[in-house]
Amino acid sequence: MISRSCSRKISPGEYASTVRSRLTERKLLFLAGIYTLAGMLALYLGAAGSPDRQALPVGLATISAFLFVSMYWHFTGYRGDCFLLPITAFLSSTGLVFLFRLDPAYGERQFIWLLIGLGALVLTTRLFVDFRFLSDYKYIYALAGLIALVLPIFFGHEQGGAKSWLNFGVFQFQPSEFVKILVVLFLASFLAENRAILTAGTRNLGWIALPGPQEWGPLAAMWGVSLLLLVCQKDLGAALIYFGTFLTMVYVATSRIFYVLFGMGLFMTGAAASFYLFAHVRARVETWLNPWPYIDTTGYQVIQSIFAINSGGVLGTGLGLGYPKYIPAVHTDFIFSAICEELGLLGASAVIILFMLFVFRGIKIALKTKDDFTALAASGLTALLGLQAFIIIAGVTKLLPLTGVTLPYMSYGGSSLVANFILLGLLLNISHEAEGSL
Amino acid sequence: MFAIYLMAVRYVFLLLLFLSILRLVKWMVGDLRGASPQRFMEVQPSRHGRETPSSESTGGVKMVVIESSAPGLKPGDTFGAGREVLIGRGGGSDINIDSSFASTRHARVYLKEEQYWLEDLRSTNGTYLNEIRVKQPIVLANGDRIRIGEVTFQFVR
Repeated sequence: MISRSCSRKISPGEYASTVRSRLTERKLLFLAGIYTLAGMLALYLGAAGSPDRQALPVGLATISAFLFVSMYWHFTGYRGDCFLLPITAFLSSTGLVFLFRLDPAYGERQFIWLLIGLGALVLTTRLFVDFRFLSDYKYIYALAGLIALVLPIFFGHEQGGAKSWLNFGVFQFQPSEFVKILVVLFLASFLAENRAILTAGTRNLGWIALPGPQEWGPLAAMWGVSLLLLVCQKDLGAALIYFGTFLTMVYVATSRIFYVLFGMGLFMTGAAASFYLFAHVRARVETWLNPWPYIDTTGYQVIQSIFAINSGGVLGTGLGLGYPKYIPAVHTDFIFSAICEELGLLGASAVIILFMLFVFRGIKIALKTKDDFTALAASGLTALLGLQAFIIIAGVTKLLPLTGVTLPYMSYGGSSLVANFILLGLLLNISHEAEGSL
Repeated sequence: MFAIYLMAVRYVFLLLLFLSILRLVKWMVGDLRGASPQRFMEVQPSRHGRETPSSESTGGVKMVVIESSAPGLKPGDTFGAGREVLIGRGGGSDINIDSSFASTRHARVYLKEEQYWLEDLRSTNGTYLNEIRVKQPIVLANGDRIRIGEVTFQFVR
Protein backbone atom coordinates (compact mmCIF):
# COMPACT_ATOMS: atom_id res chain seq x y z
CA MET A 1 0.00 0.00 0.00
CA ILE A 2 2.74 2.42 0.94
CA SER A 3 4.64 1.79 -2.23
CA ARG A 4 1.70 2.75 -4.40
CA SER A 5 1.67 6.45 -3.74
CA CYS A 6 5.41 6.77 -3.18
CA SER A 7 6.40 5.00 -6.34
CA ARG A 8 4.20 7.24 -8.47
CA LYS A 9 6.32 9.62 -10.41
CA ILE A 10 6.11 13.14 -9.07
CA SER A 11 7.59 15.87 -11.19
CA PRO A 12 9.63 18.57 -9.39
CA GLY A 13 7.00 21.24 -10.07
CA GLU A 14 4.27 18.99 -8.78
CA TYR A 15 6.30 18.19 -5.71
CA ALA A 16 6.86 21.90 -5.04
CA SER A 17 3.15 22.63 -5.26
CA THR A 18 2.44 19.72 -2.93
CA VAL A 19 4.91 21.09 -0.41
CA ARG A 20 3.44 24.56 -0.74
CA SER A 21 -0.12 23.40 -0.19
CA ARG A 22 0.87 21.28 2.81
CA LEU A 23 2.71 24.31 4.18
CA THR A 24 -0.43 26.43 3.81
CA GLU A 25 -2.33 23.68 5.55
CA ARG A 26 0.10 23.59 8.46
CA LYS A 27 0.05 27.37 8.87
CA LEU A 28 -3.73 27.29 9.05
CA LEU A 29 -3.65 24.36 11.46
CA PHE A 30 -1.24 26.33 13.59
CA LEU A 31 -3.80 29.17 13.75
CA ALA A 32 -6.46 26.62 14.65
CA GLY A 33 -4.13 25.43 17.40
CA ILE A 34 -3.75 28.88 18.92
CA TYR A 35 -7.51 29.32 18.77
CA THR A 36 -8.14 25.97 20.44
CA LEU A 37 -5.59 26.67 23.14
CA ALA A 38 -7.17 30.08 23.88
CA GLY A 39 -10.49 28.34 24.43
CA MET A 40 -8.94 25.57 26.48
CA LEU A 41 -6.96 28.11 28.51
CA ALA A 42 -10.19 29.87 29.42
CA LEU A 43 -11.61 26.54 30.64
CA TYR A 44 -8.34 25.72 32.41
CA LEU A 45 -8.58 29.01 34.29
CA GLY A 46 -12.09 28.13 35.34
CA ALA A 47 -14.30 29.84 32.79
CA ALA A 48 -16.97 27.19 33.31
CA GLY A 49 -17.06 27.21 37.10
CA SER A 50 -14.42 24.83 38.36
CA PRO A 51 -11.00 24.91 36.66
CA ASP A 52 -10.60 22.02 34.25
CA ARG A 53 -7.06 20.66 34.53
CA GLN A 54 -7.44 18.39 31.54
CA ALA A 55 -8.49 21.08 29.10
CA LEU A 56 -5.04 22.36 28.15
CA PRO A 57 -3.30 19.02 27.57
CA VAL A 58 -6.28 17.80 25.53
CA GLY A 59 -6.19 20.98 23.43
CA LEU A 60 -2.48 20.50 22.79
CA ALA A 61 -2.94 16.84 21.92
CA THR A 62 -5.79 17.63 19.55
CA ILE A 63 -3.86 20.14 17.56
CA SER A 64 -0.73 17.99 17.49
CA ALA A 65 -2.85 15.17 16.11
CA PHE A 66 -4.08 17.41 13.28
CA LEU A 67 -0.55 18.64 12.58
CA PHE A 68 0.67 15.06 12.61
CA VAL A 69 -1.84 14.14 9.90
CA SER A 70 -0.64 17.05 7.78
CA MET A 71 3.03 16.08 8.28
CA TYR A 72 2.21 12.52 7.33
CA TRP A 73 0.61 13.70 4.08
CA HIS A 74 3.64 15.88 3.45
CA PHE A 75 5.95 12.88 3.60
CA THR A 76 3.78 10.64 1.45
CA GLY A 77 3.39 13.33 -1.22
CA TYR A 78 -0.38 13.54 -0.81
CA ARG A 79 -1.90 16.28 -2.94
CA GLY A 80 -5.34 16.62 -1.33
CA ASP A 81 -6.95 20.01 -0.82
CA CYS A 82 -5.08 22.12 1.74
CA PHE A 83 -8.08 24.02 3.15
CA LEU A 84 -10.46 21.24 4.13
CA LEU A 85 -8.43 19.86 7.03
CA PRO A 86 -7.96 23.28 8.69
CA ILE A 87 -11.68 24.05 8.29
CA THR A 88 -12.48 20.71 9.89
CA ALA A 89 -9.95 21.43 12.63
CA PHE A 90 -11.69 24.72 13.45
CA LEU A 91 -15.10 23.06 13.53
CA SER A 92 -14.10 20.05 15.58
CA SER A 93 -11.98 21.98 18.05
CA THR A 94 -14.81 24.44 18.61
CA GLY A 95 -17.01 21.44 19.27
CA LEU A 96 -14.43 19.98 21.63
CA VAL A 97 -14.04 23.22 23.60
CA PHE A 98 -17.80 23.43 24.02
CA LEU A 99 -18.11 19.81 25.06
CA PHE A 100 -15.45 20.33 27.73
CA ARG A 101 -17.32 23.42 28.83
CA LEU A 102 -20.65 21.54 29.02
CA ASP A 103 -19.34 18.43 30.68
CA PRO A 104 -15.68 17.32 30.80
CA ALA A 105 -16.84 13.68 30.66
CA TYR A 106 -18.31 14.29 27.18
CA GLY A 107 -15.19 16.22 26.22
CA GLU A 108 -12.89 13.36 27.12
CA ARG A 109 -14.89 10.82 25.14
CA GLN A 110 -15.18 13.17 22.20
CA PHE A 111 -11.41 13.66 22.29
CA ILE A 112 -10.89 9.90 22.00
CA TRP A 113 -13.39 9.77 19.13
CA LEU A 114 -11.62 12.66 17.45
CA LEU A 115 -8.35 10.72 17.53
CA ILE A 116 -10.14 7.66 16.12
CA GLY A 117 -11.69 9.90 13.47
CA LEU A 118 -8.30 11.26 12.45
CA GLY A 119 -7.04 7.68 12.31
CA ALA A 120 -9.97 6.83 10.02
CA LEU A 121 -9.09 9.88 7.90
CA VAL A 122 -5.49 8.74 7.47
CA LEU A 123 -6.64 5.21 6.66
CA THR A 124 -9.14 6.51 4.09
CA THR A 125 -6.53 8.65 2.36
CA ARG A 126 -4.21 5.66 2.38
CA LEU A 127 -6.46 2.78 1.33
CA PHE A 128 -8.84 4.56 -1.03
CA VAL A 129 -6.35 6.94 -2.58
CA ASP A 130 -7.04 5.38 -5.95
CA PHE A 131 -10.59 6.60 -5.77
CA ARG A 132 -12.00 5.40 -9.04
CA PHE A 133 -11.97 1.71 -8.20
CA LEU A 134 -14.77 2.45 -5.73
CA SER A 135 -17.15 2.90 -8.66
CA ASP A 136 -17.07 -0.82 -9.42
CA TYR A 137 -18.95 -1.96 -6.35
CA LYS A 138 -22.19 -0.04 -6.49
CA TYR A 139 -24.54 -2.91 -5.75
CA ILE A 140 -22.39 -3.92 -2.80
CA TYR A 141 -22.93 -0.42 -1.39
CA ALA A 142 -26.64 -0.71 -1.94
CA LEU A 143 -26.71 -4.08 -0.21
CA ALA A 144 -24.45 -3.04 2.67
CA GLY A 145 -26.48 0.12 3.13
CA LEU A 146 -29.74 -1.79 3.25
CA ILE A 147 -28.38 -4.30 5.78
CA ALA A 148 -27.02 -1.50 7.94
CA LEU A 149 -30.40 0.22 7.87
CA VAL A 150 -32.41 -2.91 8.57
CA LEU A 151 -30.29 -4.19 11.46
CA PRO A 152 -31.35 -1.54 13.98
CA ILE A 153 -35.03 -2.31 13.31
CA PHE A 154 -34.53 -5.79 14.71
CA PHE A 155 -31.62 -5.40 17.06
CA GLY A 156 -31.52 -1.70 17.71
CA HIS A 157 -32.92 0.33 20.51
CA GLU A 158 -34.73 3.60 20.45
CA GLN A 159 -33.05 6.77 21.57
CA GLY A 160 -34.50 10.26 21.28
CA GLY A 161 -37.49 9.09 19.24
CA ALA A 162 -35.34 7.43 16.57
CA LYS A 163 -34.70 3.72 16.46
CA SER A 164 -31.38 3.81 14.69
CA TRP A 165 -28.85 2.67 17.25
CA LEU A 166 -26.99 -0.59 17.61
CA ASN A 167 -25.76 -1.38 21.08
CA PHE A 168 -22.41 -3.11 21.44
CA GLY A 169 -22.24 -2.93 25.21
CA VAL A 170 -19.18 -0.71 25.48
CA PHE A 171 -20.31 1.73 22.85
CA GLN A 172 -23.31 2.44 20.69
CA PHE A 173 -23.17 2.70 17.00
CA GLN A 174 -25.44 4.51 14.59
CA PRO A 175 -25.25 2.80 11.19
CA SER A 176 -27.23 5.49 9.38
CA GLU A 177 -24.27 7.85 9.68
CA PHE A 178 -22.18 5.51 7.55
CA VAL A 179 -25.01 4.53 5.23
CA LYS A 180 -25.12 8.14 4.02
CA ILE A 181 -21.66 7.78 2.49
CA LEU A 182 -22.58 4.45 0.92
CA VAL A 183 -25.68 6.03 -0.60
CA VAL A 184 -23.60 8.81 -2.16
CA LEU A 185 -21.12 6.31 -3.62
CA PHE A 186 -23.93 4.15 -4.98
CA LEU A 187 -25.71 7.10 -6.56
CA ALA A 188 -22.49 8.52 -8.00
CA SER A 189 -21.62 5.23 -9.62
CA PHE A 190 -25.14 4.55 -10.86
CA LEU A 191 -25.73 8.04 -12.21
CA ALA A 192 -22.34 8.16 -13.91
CA GLU A 193 -23.25 5.01 -15.78
CA ASN A 194 -26.75 6.06 -16.76
CA ARG A 195 -26.24 9.79 -17.08
CA ALA A 196 -26.75 10.04 -20.79
CA ILE A 197 -29.98 8.03 -20.79
CA LEU A 198 -31.45 9.86 -17.82
CA THR A 199 -30.65 13.17 -19.46
CA ALA A 200 -31.97 12.47 -22.91
CA GLY A 201 -34.89 10.25 -22.02
CA THR A 202 -35.95 7.30 -24.14
CA ARG A 203 -39.67 7.75 -24.25
CA ASN A 204 -41.87 10.77 -24.44
CA LEU A 205 -44.66 11.68 -22.10
CA GLY A 206 -46.28 14.65 -23.75
CA TRP A 207 -43.52 17.21 -23.96
CA ILE A 208 -41.30 15.60 -21.33
CA ALA A 209 -38.76 13.01 -22.39
CA LEU A 210 -38.62 10.29 -19.77
CA PRO A 211 -36.08 7.52 -19.36
CA GLY A 212 -37.35 3.96 -19.41
CA PRO A 213 -38.11 1.99 -16.25
CA GLN A 214 -34.89 -0.04 -16.45
CA GLU A 215 -32.94 3.18 -15.84
CA TRP A 216 -34.90 4.79 -13.07
CA GLY A 217 -36.29 1.55 -11.66
CA PRO A 218 -33.29 0.66 -9.45
CA LEU A 219 -33.05 4.26 -8.33
CA ALA A 220 -36.68 4.48 -7.36
CA ALA A 221 -36.62 1.08 -5.66
CA MET A 222 -33.51 1.94 -3.65
CA TRP A 223 -35.17 5.16 -2.76
CA GLY A 224 -38.51 3.81 -1.72
CA VAL A 225 -36.91 1.16 0.46
CA SER A 226 -34.58 3.51 2.27
CA LEU A 227 -37.29 6.10 2.84
CA LEU A 228 -39.63 3.43 4.15
CA LEU A 229 -36.96 2.19 6.52
CA LEU A 230 -36.31 5.67 7.76
CA VAL A 231 -39.97 6.25 8.39
CA CYS A 232 -40.10 2.97 10.31
CA GLN A 233 -37.09 4.04 12.33
CA LYS A 234 -38.55 7.54 12.76
CA ASP A 235 -35.24 9.03 11.72
CA LEU A 236 -36.76 11.95 9.83
CA GLY A 237 -33.67 14.11 9.72
CA ALA A 238 -31.70 11.42 7.96
CA ALA A 239 -34.53 10.89 5.46
CA LEU A 240 -34.51 14.58 4.62
CA ILE A 241 -30.73 14.60 4.12
CA TYR A 242 -30.84 11.52 1.90
CA PHE A 243 -33.54 12.99 -0.24
CA GLY A 244 -31.84 16.38 -0.61
CA THR A 245 -28.53 14.74 -1.52
CA PHE A 246 -30.30 12.49 -4.00
CA LEU A 247 -31.97 15.42 -5.76
CA THR A 248 -28.72 17.40 -5.83
CA MET A 249 -26.84 14.53 -7.41
CA VAL A 250 -29.54 13.83 -9.98
CA TYR A 251 -29.49 17.50 -10.92
CA VAL A 252 -25.69 17.56 -11.14
CA ALA A 253 -25.76 14.47 -13.33
CA THR A 254 -28.51 15.46 -15.73
CA SER A 255 -28.85 19.25 -15.38
CA ARG A 256 -32.58 18.77 -15.84
CA ILE A 257 -34.66 20.91 -13.51
CA PHE A 258 -37.63 18.64 -14.20
CA TYR A 259 -36.21 15.92 -11.95
CA VAL A 260 -35.71 18.40 -9.12
CA LEU A 261 -39.25 19.78 -9.42
CA PHE A 262 -40.65 16.27 -9.67
CA GLY A 263 -38.64 15.19 -6.63
CA MET A 264 -39.77 18.18 -4.63
CA GLY A 265 -43.36 17.46 -5.57
CA LEU A 266 -42.85 13.88 -4.45
CA PHE A 267 -41.34 15.09 -1.21
CA MET A 268 -44.20 17.51 -0.54
CA THR A 269 -46.71 14.72 -1.13
CA GLY A 270 -44.75 12.44 1.17
CA ALA A 271 -44.49 15.12 3.82
CA ALA A 272 -48.21 15.84 3.69
CA ALA A 273 -49.03 12.12 3.83
CA SER A 274 -46.77 11.50 6.81
CA PHE A 275 -48.24 14.52 8.56
CA TYR A 276 -51.64 12.82 8.51
CA LEU A 277 -50.36 9.26 8.98
CA PHE A 278 -47.80 9.52 11.76
CA ALA A 279 -48.50 11.10 15.10
CA HIS A 280 -44.84 11.87 15.78
CA VAL A 281 -44.53 13.84 12.55
CA ARG A 282 -47.68 15.81 13.34
CA ALA A 283 -46.36 16.58 16.81
CA ARG A 284 -43.07 17.83 15.34
CA VAL A 285 -44.77 20.17 12.91
CA GLU A 286 -47.20 21.54 15.48
CA THR A 287 -44.34 22.14 17.88
CA TRP A 288 -42.50 23.96 15.14
CA LEU A 289 -45.37 26.24 14.14
CA ASN A 290 -46.17 27.21 17.70
CA PRO A 291 -44.10 25.67 20.47
CA TRP A 292 -45.55 27.78 23.30
CA PRO A 293 -48.57 25.59 24.18
CA TYR A 294 -46.16 22.64 24.48
CA ILE A 295 -43.58 24.45 26.57
CA ASP A 296 -43.62 21.77 29.26
CA THR A 297 -43.47 18.84 26.87
CA THR A 298 -42.41 18.65 23.24
CA GLY A 299 -41.76 22.36 22.81
CA TYR A 300 -39.45 22.63 25.80
CA GLN A 301 -36.26 21.89 23.88
CA VAL A 302 -36.72 24.34 21.05
CA ILE A 303 -37.97 27.09 23.36
CA GLN A 304 -34.94 26.71 25.61
CA SER A 305 -32.80 26.85 22.48
CA ILE A 306 -34.41 30.11 21.41
CA PHE A 307 -34.00 31.56 24.89
CA ALA A 308 -30.32 30.64 24.77
CA ILE A 309 -29.82 32.20 21.34
CA ASN A 310 -31.57 35.34 22.46
CA SER A 311 -29.53 35.73 25.62
CA GLY A 312 -26.34 35.47 23.58
CA GLY A 313 -26.87 38.70 21.71
CA VAL A 314 -24.15 39.86 19.33
CA LEU A 315 -21.00 39.18 21.34
CA GLY A 316 -22.32 36.33 23.45
CA THR A 317 -22.19 35.94 27.20
CA GLY A 318 -18.60 34.69 26.99
CA LEU A 319 -17.38 31.12 27.19
CA GLY A 320 -18.75 29.44 30.31
CA LEU A 321 -21.07 32.27 31.33
CA GLY A 322 -24.31 31.13 29.71
CA TYR A 323 -26.80 28.52 30.86
CA PRO A 324 -26.89 26.14 27.91
CA LYS A 325 -27.51 23.14 30.16
CA TYR A 326 -31.19 24.00 30.29
CA ILE A 327 -31.46 22.72 26.74
CA PRO A 328 -31.94 18.95 26.59
CA ALA A 329 -29.43 17.22 24.26
CA VAL A 330 -27.32 20.37 24.14
CA HIS A 331 -24.16 18.30 23.66
CA THR A 332 -25.39 16.62 20.49
CA ASP A 333 -28.07 18.18 18.32
CA PHE A 334 -28.24 21.50 20.13
CA ILE A 335 -24.56 22.37 20.38
CA PHE A 336 -25.17 25.22 17.96
CA SER A 337 -27.51 26.87 20.47
CA ALA A 338 -24.80 26.71 23.12
CA ILE A 339 -22.40 28.40 20.70
CA CYS A 340 -25.03 31.06 19.92
CA GLU A 341 -25.45 31.74 23.61
CA GLU A 342 -21.82 31.95 24.62
CA LEU A 343 -20.15 33.28 21.47
CA GLY A 344 -23.17 35.25 20.28
CA LEU A 345 -24.12 36.14 16.73
CA LEU A 346 -20.44 36.50 15.85
CA GLY A 347 -19.46 33.01 16.94
CA ALA A 348 -22.55 31.47 15.36
CA SER A 349 -21.93 33.19 12.04
CA ALA A 350 -18.30 32.07 12.19
CA VAL A 351 -19.49 28.47 12.42
CA ILE A 352 -21.86 28.97 9.49
CA ILE A 353 -19.08 30.63 7.48
CA LEU A 354 -16.82 27.66 8.17
CA PHE A 355 -19.45 25.27 6.85
CA MET A 356 -19.93 27.48 3.79
CA LEU A 357 -16.19 27.46 3.14
CA PHE A 358 -16.22 23.68 3.43
CA VAL A 359 -18.99 23.46 0.85
CA PHE A 360 -17.19 25.96 -1.39
CA ARG A 361 -14.04 23.84 -1.39
CA GLY A 362 -16.12 20.73 -2.02
CA ILE A 363 -17.76 22.28 -5.08
CA LYS A 364 -14.37 23.47 -6.30
CA ILE A 365 -13.04 19.93 -6.03
CA ALA A 366 -16.06 18.62 -7.94
CA LEU A 367 -15.42 21.13 -10.73
CA LYS A 368 -11.79 20.07 -11.07
CA THR A 369 -12.52 16.39 -11.54
CA LYS A 370 -12.03 14.64 -14.85
CA ASP A 371 -14.76 12.02 -14.91
CA ASP A 372 -18.41 11.69 -14.04
CA PHE A 373 -18.08 9.32 -11.11
CA THR A 374 -15.65 11.44 -9.12
CA ALA A 375 -17.50 14.67 -9.99
CA LEU A 376 -20.77 13.17 -8.79
CA ALA A 377 -19.19 11.68 -5.68
CA ALA A 378 -17.55 14.99 -4.75
CA SER A 379 -20.73 16.99 -5.23
CA GLY A 380 -22.78 14.36 -3.41
CA LEU A 381 -20.49 14.23 -0.39
CA THR A 382 -20.41 18.03 -0.26
CA ALA A 383 -24.18 18.28 -0.54
CA LEU A 384 -24.54 15.67 2.19
CA LEU A 385 -22.42 17.60 4.65
CA GLY A 386 -23.87 20.98 3.74
CA LEU A 387 -27.45 19.76 3.99
CA GLN A 388 -26.84 18.08 7.32
CA ALA A 389 -25.34 21.26 8.79
CA PHE A 390 -28.16 23.35 7.33
CA ILE A 391 -30.95 21.09 8.56
CA ILE A 392 -29.80 20.96 12.15
CA ILE A 393 -28.89 24.66 12.35
CA ALA A 394 -32.28 25.50 10.83
CA GLY A 395 -33.90 23.10 13.30
CA VAL A 396 -32.42 24.57 16.46
CA THR A 397 -33.15 28.12 15.32
CA LYS A 398 -36.76 27.15 14.51
CA LEU A 399 -36.43 27.93 10.81
CA LEU A 400 -37.48 24.35 9.98
CA PRO A 401 -39.20 21.68 12.06
CA LEU A 402 -36.64 20.12 14.34
CA THR A 403 -35.18 16.85 13.11
CA GLY A 404 -32.59 15.08 15.17
CA VAL A 405 -29.32 15.02 13.27
CA THR A 406 -25.86 15.88 14.48
CA LEU A 407 -23.96 19.01 13.53
CA PRO A 408 -21.04 17.58 11.53
CA TYR A 409 -17.67 17.61 13.34
CA MET A 410 -19.07 19.53 16.32
CA SER A 411 -21.77 17.47 18.01
CA TYR A 412 -20.87 14.83 20.54
CA GLY A 413 -21.04 11.39 18.98
CA GLY A 414 -18.53 8.85 17.82
CA SER A 415 -20.36 7.42 14.79
CA SER A 416 -21.07 10.84 13.41
CA LEU A 417 -17.52 12.10 13.92
CA VAL A 418 -15.82 9.05 12.42
CA ALA A 419 -18.26 8.94 9.48
CA ASN A 420 -17.67 12.60 8.73
CA PHE A 421 -13.91 12.16 8.84
CA ILE A 422 -14.23 9.30 6.35
CA LEU A 423 -16.32 11.65 4.18
CA LEU A 424 -13.54 14.23 4.44
CA GLY A 425 -10.98 11.60 3.46
CA LEU A 426 -12.96 10.62 0.35
CA LEU A 427 -13.32 14.25 -0.68
CA LEU A 428 -9.58 14.78 -0.21
CA ASN A 429 -8.83 11.68 -2.29
CA ILE A 430 -10.88 13.11 -5.14
CA SER A 431 -8.94 16.37 -5.00
CA HIS A 432 -5.68 14.42 -4.77
CA GLU A 433 -6.52 12.67 -8.00
CA ALA A 434 -7.72 15.84 -9.73
CA GLU A 435 -4.49 17.65 -8.83
CA GLY A 436 -2.41 14.71 -9.89
CA SER A 437 -3.78 14.44 -13.40
CA LEU A 438 -3.10 18.07 -14.24
CA MET B 1 -7.95 41.10 38.39
CA PHE B 2 -8.14 37.40 37.62
CA ALA B 3 -11.67 37.83 36.35
CA ILE B 4 -10.48 40.46 33.92
CA TYR B 5 -7.80 38.15 32.56
CA LEU B 6 -10.37 35.43 32.18
CA MET B 7 -12.71 37.76 30.32
CA ALA B 8 -9.83 38.78 28.06
CA VAL B 9 -9.06 35.15 27.25
CA ARG B 10 -12.75 34.58 26.45
CA TYR B 11 -12.83 37.37 23.92
CA VAL B 12 -9.41 36.49 22.52
CA PHE B 13 -10.96 33.09 21.80
CA LEU B 14 -13.71 34.69 19.72
CA LEU B 15 -11.33 37.18 18.11
CA LEU B 16 -8.92 34.43 17.08
CA LEU B 17 -11.77 32.55 15.42
CA PHE B 18 -12.50 35.55 13.23
CA LEU B 19 -8.87 36.35 12.48
CA SER B 20 -8.37 32.75 11.39
CA ILE B 21 -11.44 32.82 9.17
CA LEU B 22 -10.17 36.05 7.59
CA ARG B 23 -6.86 34.36 6.89
CA LEU B 24 -8.60 31.28 5.51
CA VAL B 25 -10.74 33.35 3.15
CA LYS B 26 -7.78 35.47 2.09
CA TRP B 27 -5.72 32.44 1.15
CA MET B 28 -8.65 30.80 -0.58
CA VAL B 29 -9.16 33.90 -2.71
CA GLY B 30 -5.42 33.88 -3.44
CA ASP B 31 -5.70 30.24 -4.44
CA LEU B 32 -8.62 31.07 -6.72
CA ARG B 33 -6.73 33.94 -8.40
CA GLY B 34 -3.39 32.21 -8.63
CA ALA B 35 -4.62 28.87 -9.76
CA SER B 36 -7.22 29.57 -12.40
CA PRO B 37 -5.04 30.93 -15.23
CA GLN B 38 -2.50 28.20 -14.59
CA ARG B 39 -5.06 25.51 -15.26
CA PHE B 40 -5.07 26.40 -18.93
CA MET B 41 -1.31 26.70 -19.14
CA GLU B 42 -0.67 23.15 -18.09
CA VAL B 43 -2.19 21.57 -21.15
CA GLN B 44 -2.84 17.89 -20.93
CA PRO B 45 -1.92 16.28 -24.21
CA SER B 46 -4.94 14.37 -25.40
CA ARG B 47 -4.37 10.73 -26.01
CA HIS B 48 -5.71 10.55 -29.51
CA GLY B 49 -5.66 14.14 -30.59
CA ARG B 50 -3.38 15.93 -33.01
CA GLU B 51 -2.12 12.86 -34.75
CA THR B 52 -3.30 13.30 -38.29
CA PRO B 53 -4.06 9.88 -39.67
CA SER B 54 -3.03 10.80 -43.19
CA SER B 55 -3.07 7.21 -44.33
CA GLU B 56 -6.78 6.97 -43.62
CA SER B 57 -7.82 10.33 -44.97
CA THR B 58 -9.64 10.29 -48.27
CA GLY B 59 -9.29 13.21 -50.59
CA GLY B 60 -7.91 15.63 -48.02
CA VAL B 61 -11.03 15.93 -45.91
CA LYS B 62 -10.09 17.66 -42.65
CA MET B 63 -11.57 19.02 -39.49
CA VAL B 64 -9.78 22.12 -38.26
CA VAL B 65 -10.21 23.48 -34.76
CA ILE B 66 -10.98 27.17 -35.08
CA GLU B 67 -12.12 27.94 -31.55
CA SER B 68 -11.40 26.07 -28.33
CA SER B 69 -11.04 26.63 -24.64
CA ALA B 70 -10.84 22.94 -23.81
CA PRO B 71 -7.43 21.69 -22.69
CA GLY B 72 -5.61 19.67 -25.31
CA LEU B 73 -7.26 21.32 -28.30
CA LYS B 74 -6.12 24.64 -29.67
CA PRO B 75 -7.10 26.62 -32.77
CA GLY B 76 -5.24 25.31 -35.77
CA ASP B 77 -5.22 21.68 -34.72
CA THR B 78 -6.17 19.58 -37.70
CA PHE B 79 -7.70 16.14 -37.81
CA GLY B 80 -7.94 14.11 -40.97
CA ALA B 81 -11.30 12.43 -41.53
CA GLY B 82 -11.34 8.79 -42.52
CA ARG B 83 -14.45 6.71 -43.06
CA GLU B 84 -15.66 7.54 -39.57
CA VAL B 85 -14.55 9.99 -36.91
CA LEU B 86 -15.92 9.65 -33.39
CA ILE B 87 -15.88 12.83 -31.34
CA GLY B 88 -16.25 12.60 -27.57
CA ARG B 89 -14.68 12.77 -24.19
CA GLY B 90 -12.29 10.04 -23.20
CA GLY B 91 -9.80 7.73 -24.81
CA GLY B 92 -12.24 5.80 -26.97
CA SER B 93 -12.90 8.62 -29.40
CA ASP B 94 -10.87 9.74 -32.40
CA ILE B 95 -11.10 13.40 -31.46
CA ASN B 96 -10.90 13.72 -27.72
CA ILE B 97 -12.52 16.82 -26.24
CA ASP B 98 -11.53 17.03 -22.60
CA SER B 99 -14.38 19.24 -21.47
CA SER B 100 -17.38 18.76 -19.26
CA PHE B 101 -19.62 19.89 -22.11
CA ALA B 102 -18.73 16.88 -24.19
CA SER B 103 -20.34 13.49 -23.65
CA THR B 104 -18.30 10.31 -23.78
CA ARG B 105 -19.65 9.50 -27.25
CA HIS B 106 -20.76 12.89 -28.42
CA ALA B 107 -21.01 12.94 -32.18
CA ARG B 108 -19.64 11.25 -35.28
CA VAL B 109 -18.75 12.26 -38.78
CA TYR B 110 -18.98 9.42 -41.27
CA LEU B 111 -18.80 8.73 -44.97
CA LYS B 112 -21.91 7.41 -46.68
CA GLU B 113 -22.68 7.45 -50.39
CA GLU B 114 -19.74 9.75 -51.16
CA GLN B 115 -21.02 12.32 -48.67
CA TYR B 116 -19.85 13.19 -45.22
CA TRP B 117 -22.57 13.14 -42.59
CA LEU B 118 -22.66 14.57 -39.09
CA GLU B 119 -24.66 12.71 -36.47
CA ASP B 120 -25.26 13.65 -32.84
CA LEU B 121 -24.99 10.57 -30.60
CA ARG B 122 -27.62 11.59 -28.01
CA SER B 123 -25.12 13.92 -26.41
CA THR B 124 -26.04 15.82 -23.26
CA ASN B 125 -25.30 19.29 -24.51
CA GLY B 126 -25.90 18.84 -28.18
CA THR B 127 -23.92 19.23 -31.39
CA TYR B 128 -24.39 22.37 -33.42
CA LEU B 129 -23.93 22.72 -37.16
CA ASN B 130 -23.59 26.40 -38.04
CA GLU B 131 -25.20 27.15 -34.65
CA ILE B 132 -28.25 25.00 -35.33
CA ARG B 133 -28.69 21.95 -33.14
CA VAL B 134 -28.26 18.69 -34.99
CA LYS B 135 -31.28 16.43 -34.48
CA GLN B 136 -30.76 13.86 -37.20
CA PRO B 137 -27.80 12.97 -39.44
CA ILE B 138 -27.07 15.83 -41.80
CA VAL B 139 -24.78 16.21 -44.82
CA LEU B 140 -21.66 18.32 -44.34
CA ALA B 141 -20.50 20.89 -46.88
CA ASN B 142 -17.13 22.57 -47.23
CA GLY B 143 -16.69 25.31 -44.64
CA ASP B 144 -19.42 24.11 -42.26
CA ARG B 145 -18.84 24.87 -38.62
CA ILE B 146 -19.40 22.10 -36.09
CA ARG B 147 -19.62 23.24 -32.49
CA ILE B 148 -19.46 20.97 -29.43
CA GLY B 149 -19.45 22.82 -26.13
CA GLU B 150 -16.72 25.42 -26.34
CA VAL B 151 -14.93 23.78 -29.26
CA THR B 152 -15.70 24.72 -32.87
CA PHE B 153 -14.40 22.77 -35.84
CA GLN B 154 -14.45 23.76 -39.46
CA PHE B 155 -15.14 21.04 -41.97
CA VAL B 156 -12.79 21.33 -44.95
CA ARG B 157 -13.30 19.19 -48.04
